[in-house]
Parts: sequence; C-alpha cells; structure tokens
Amino acid sequence: MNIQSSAAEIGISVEAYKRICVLFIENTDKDLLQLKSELDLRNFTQSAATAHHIKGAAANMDYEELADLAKKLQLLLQSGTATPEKLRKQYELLSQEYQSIKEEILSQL
Amino acid sequence: MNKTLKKILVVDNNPVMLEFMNEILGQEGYSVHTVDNGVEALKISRTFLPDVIFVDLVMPYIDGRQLCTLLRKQPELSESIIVIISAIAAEEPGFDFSEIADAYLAKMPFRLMKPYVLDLLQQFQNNSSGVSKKIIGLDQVHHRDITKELLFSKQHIEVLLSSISDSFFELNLDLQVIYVNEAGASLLGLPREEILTLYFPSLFPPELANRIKNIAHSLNGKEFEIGIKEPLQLGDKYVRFRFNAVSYGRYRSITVMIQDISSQKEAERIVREDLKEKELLLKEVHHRVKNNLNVVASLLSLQTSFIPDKVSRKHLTESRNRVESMALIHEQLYYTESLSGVYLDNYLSDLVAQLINTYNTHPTPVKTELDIPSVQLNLSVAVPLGLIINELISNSLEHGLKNIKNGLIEISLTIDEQRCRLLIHDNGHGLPEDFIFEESESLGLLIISNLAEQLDGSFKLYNDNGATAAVEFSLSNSD
Repeated sequence: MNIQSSAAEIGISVEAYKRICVLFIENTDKDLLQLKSELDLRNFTQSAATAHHIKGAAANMDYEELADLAKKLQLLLQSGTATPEKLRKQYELLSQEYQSIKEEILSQL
Repeated sequence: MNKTLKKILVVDNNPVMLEFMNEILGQEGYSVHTVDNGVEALKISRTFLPDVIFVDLVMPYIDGRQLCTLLRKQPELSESIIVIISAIAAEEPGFDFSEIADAYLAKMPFRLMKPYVLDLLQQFQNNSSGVSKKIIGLDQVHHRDITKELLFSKQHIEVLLSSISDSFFELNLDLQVIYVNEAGASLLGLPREEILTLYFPSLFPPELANRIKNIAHSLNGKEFEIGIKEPLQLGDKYVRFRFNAVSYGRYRSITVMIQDISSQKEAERIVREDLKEKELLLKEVHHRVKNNLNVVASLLSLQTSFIPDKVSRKHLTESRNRVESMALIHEQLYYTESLSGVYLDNYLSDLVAQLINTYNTHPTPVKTELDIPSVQLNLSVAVPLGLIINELISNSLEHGLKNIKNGLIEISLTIDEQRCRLLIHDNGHGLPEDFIFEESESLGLLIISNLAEQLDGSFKLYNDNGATAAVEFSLSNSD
C-alpha cells in the first residue's frame, strides 16, 4: 500500500488520506481491544458485531485480507460451533494481519 | 427539473467512512454534516434541513432502515433525498428500498466510491425522480453474506419489543430517548419519531420529571422501581416505572419500562366496592339475627310471666339469658368495622352488666373486676365462650353469692401463644363439700362441659375462698 498512490486513486489529497489512515488505525486499535475483552467474556453477539465493524472498515480501506479474516471470525461466532481455541486462533490471525498493516501505514505517515 | 443540492448529512457509525465522505463531498463544495448515530441524525436534521441524507444500515441505537422510515415521516424533510449506503447490498440484491429511500448505493472500497457518490448526486440534480430504483454499484462489492444476520437479530428484537404491551424506552446517558417501542409512543400519545432524541424527563409532569432525572443519574448499575406501592398517575392512566442501567463494552445506556396498571387498579376498585357492599349486607344480617334473638328472648320473658311454677320460671329465665348472650355478640359484630369478630373485653363487659341486671336480687350490688385483653375473637370462639361465661356468672349470681353482702366476681383471661386461660372467681359460699362435677345433673354444667370440648379445651371447678371456674381453650378455632 502506498499512501500517495492510494490518495490519487481515491481522488483526494494525500493529507486527507493520511487523516483517514490515522482514523482507521485509532478505531481499529479500539475495536480489537474491545473484541478481545468481549471474547474473554464469551459475549458472542457483541463480539460478532465488533468483528463486523472491523470488517467494514477494512473493506472500505481495501484491505481484503483483513476484511476476510474479520469475516471468518464473525462467521465462527455466529455458527454456534466456536471453541475457545478456535476463537483464540482466529483472533490471533486477525490481530497479526492488522499489526502488519498498521506498521506499513505508520511507516508512511 | 433541475434541483440545487447543497447540504448533505452523512450518518454512519464508522468514523473513517464519515471522514471519507466529508472529504470527497467537501471538495465539491457541498456543506457536509456527519453524525455517527440515528439519534444525532434526527436531532441535527431538524435544524440543518439537509437536501441529501446518506444513511448506513448497520448502526447502534436506531438502525438505518428505522432511521430512514423516521426521517421520511418528518414534514420538514419531505423534500430531502434519502440514500442508503451500505455493504449489506451484496447480501440482498433484490431489497426493495423504495418505501424508505430514494436510492441505494452499495458500500465499496474508497478507491472506487467517489465517482459513484458524485454521479448519484449529479443524477438527482438533473432529475430528482429519474434515479434508478436498483442498488447502485453492486458489482463492486464482495459477497460476504453475514451482515444480514446481524440486522436480522436486531430486527427480531425490535419485533419482540413492539409486541409487548409495556412501554419500553432506551436512553443515552444525557437521558435522550434513543429507542421507544409502539406501546411507549401510544402511552405518551406522540409519534415515535417525535419522541426520539427528546430529553426523557421532559415528557412527564415537572414533579415526576425531577424524580426521573434523579433516579436516572444515580442508578450506578442497579435497578430501580417507582410506583410499586402507590402507582403513579399519568393523565387517566396508572403506571409504574422500572429503570435499568445497561453496560457492555464501551456501550452505556438506561432502559425504562413503564407498566400501565390502570386495568389492575380498576379491578381493585371494583373488588373494594364489591367488598364494601358485602360488608353492608353482612352487617344487615347480624342486625337481623340480633333482632330475631331479642324477639325470642322477649317471648321467653313474656312466657315466664305467665308461669306460676318457680322452677319452670327459673329454667325459662336461664334460657332467655343464653339467647341474650348470643344476641349481644351479633349486636357487637354489627358495630365493629372489620366484621371478622368481637372484641372480648367489650363483649364481656356488656355481658356481665346484662347478667347482673337480670339477677338483681342481692342485698348489696355485686361488684365485678375484669382483666380481659382486647383480643378479637371470631364467631366460632365468641359464641361458645359467651355461653360458657353466661352459665358461670349466672351460677355465681344465683347460687354462689346468694345472700352474700359485698359479693365480688373476678374475671380474667390470659393468652399464652394460642392457648387461653379463663378464670372466673366469686367470693361466695363455694361448692358444696359433696359436689362431684362428673355426677352433677346441672344443665348449665353440661352445657359448659360440651362447649369447652367444642373449643378444644378443658373445664375445672374448685374451691378457693369461694368458687373458681377455670376454662382452657385453643384460639386456633378462631381460624
């Protein structure tokens, strides 16, 4: 991902796109923390809603891999077959993918 | 016909999306306002009067469909264009949105979205009625097919809340209404869209409003109810309130359930009136029983005056006293408020006075000392006890205190849990030395013995500086 080319592709200024990137990081950080605490409390309905929120933001930003991982977690939560181990694994994959995106964004800000 | 669109409101709970829309629309010279929930959207739209409103579907508080419906009902927004902008488009491509919105744009990656948004606005500028009724940009969205489950779950709860007869409100921490069900709108007599975003206490009279405000601010995660003992009056309705604090993740709100108990209150009023009527009838019955017993007593008295034989006259007088002791109970019941029984102290005081008056043949007036607690006895105990006391006092007055100066009768009653002990003592001649209770042929003693048994009790007669009668019985008969 390149901030300059992405801004051009969207049709907005680089500064505006940077603001959007910062907002994306701030909100996804919060969402992941909230998701972790909801999973710990085994509040599956609320966890699914938070995963959905992460998926939406990722899709808007065109991070398809992150959106798909959030979707898989949401599906798992809605399937009724989620074990703590499966959830932990899926959350780790999501978190790792997000961390690499975050590093990439931060390196360009 | 061309239309000038200047003011745009964007409603989405994703701040990244709001920033994006603000940027691309601001660049084009639109005046843009962004809010992250339906409640704020309703509030701002009343003053901002947007030409176009973009609405996301999955949002907290009021979801997008509901918000579109509520916005549509606002008279001041009748000219506003409503555009749904959501990724759920991919999950239900055939969704008919025409009732709630003018267009539906699929939410896609930002890099593709700008031309779709601007093109759609251009179409509305050029021809407000000619915009496609199909979802726009559907081919740019990935099929994920899971969002609608979230929406279904939300709609399911909405249907459940609509079907309950109690009024249900959800408030944010500023006490603004963020949800109200049909019953709540009906209770307040206002449309739902007018209630949303209003300051909840302001919907009630000042005194109640203050109470609501104080409760809501001091909930501290607990539940609180008002109107339980004494229901609150709201117009012509009687209600009770239940407040609950809601907390999960970062979400905080307050729910208020208002239960309309007018019909329950009306039923209670009918029962109370019914009961009052029955009490009046019961009093009338006691009054008539007392009158009839008094008639029987008068007839016996009249009959006595026609009988020359002294013994027969004595027997008839005793019978008349028994009838009068029963009449006295019904008279007292007629005057008590509860009708469930007579007060023993009042009853015995009247009964003893009545008997002393009947046997007024002593050289000096017989004195009485009563130590009776003010306990209430029902008919099943009061009638046999009254008859027992009638027999014992009659015996004292007729035999024990015969020709005695300064005669005294002491009557006391003690209660130990459910057992009662009645003592009647006179300072007269006492029992004859050869008196054997079991061999006595006195009708009076037979009556006492049988009635004591009826009270699950026992009866003893003995000398103690005069004669003493002790009756022990159980109060459980009064159940």
